[in-house]
Amino acid sequence: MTFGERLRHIRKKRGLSLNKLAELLNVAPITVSRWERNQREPDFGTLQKLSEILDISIDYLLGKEDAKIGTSLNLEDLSDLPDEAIKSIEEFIDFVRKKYGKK
Amino acid sequence: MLSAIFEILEKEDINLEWWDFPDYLLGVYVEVDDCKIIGLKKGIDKSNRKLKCVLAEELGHYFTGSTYKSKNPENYREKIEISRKEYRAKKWQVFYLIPEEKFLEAIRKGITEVWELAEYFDVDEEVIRFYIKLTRVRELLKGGY
Repeated sequence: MTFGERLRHIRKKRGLSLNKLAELLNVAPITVSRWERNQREPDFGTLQKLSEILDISIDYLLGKEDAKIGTSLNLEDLSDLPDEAIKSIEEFIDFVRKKYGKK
Repeated sequence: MLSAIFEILEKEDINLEWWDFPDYLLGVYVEVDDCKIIGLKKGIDKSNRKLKCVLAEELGHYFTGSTYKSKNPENYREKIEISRKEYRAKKWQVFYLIPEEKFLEAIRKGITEVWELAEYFDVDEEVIRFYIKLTRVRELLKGGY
């Protein structure tokens, strides 16, 4: 995905209209539209604001992100994955990267 | 209901794979190189109910964009962040499996026990317990039915 596509994708996931995002950033809606069509790029400061508003890392927006995951567990604590689980997930990611990935 | 989930997977171009995960790890949603894959624990398909619940939770990760890096949290802030994202996915899951109006309908019919509700909606009891603790649902019940 290009920067513009990722931006549009995550904006929609967050349920934000183009106008609303422009308003939050204090820019014109046409500016956001140009970013999403890859005709312009936001500056560093705006990129940071985008990352905060959309609750997503700058790495993701720039396409530099590693694999991202979410889990479904039979455990109470949702954040403390045992090492064994992390290892198993890493192996799974290697497998899907080979099967589906470009790299 | 399961077929509805498969339809969503198809439409959203999310792939399914089976993997030998540890017992407590029922499913993993992975985004890598612009591909979306749900990994399911082998054997989980023996129960349609479980499969449905896990797939709905993984879809919750996708639809709410609640994903994180595949490693242990390095500090408390990261830990909280992961919990928050897992919570957001779970919330999507329960409202998908149990729409509010259907829930009120069940209550009106006198189905109020956790196990009864689980049977009625064909979901795990854990899903019901999570659901009824949500503020949105408590408010709903307070409003009369």
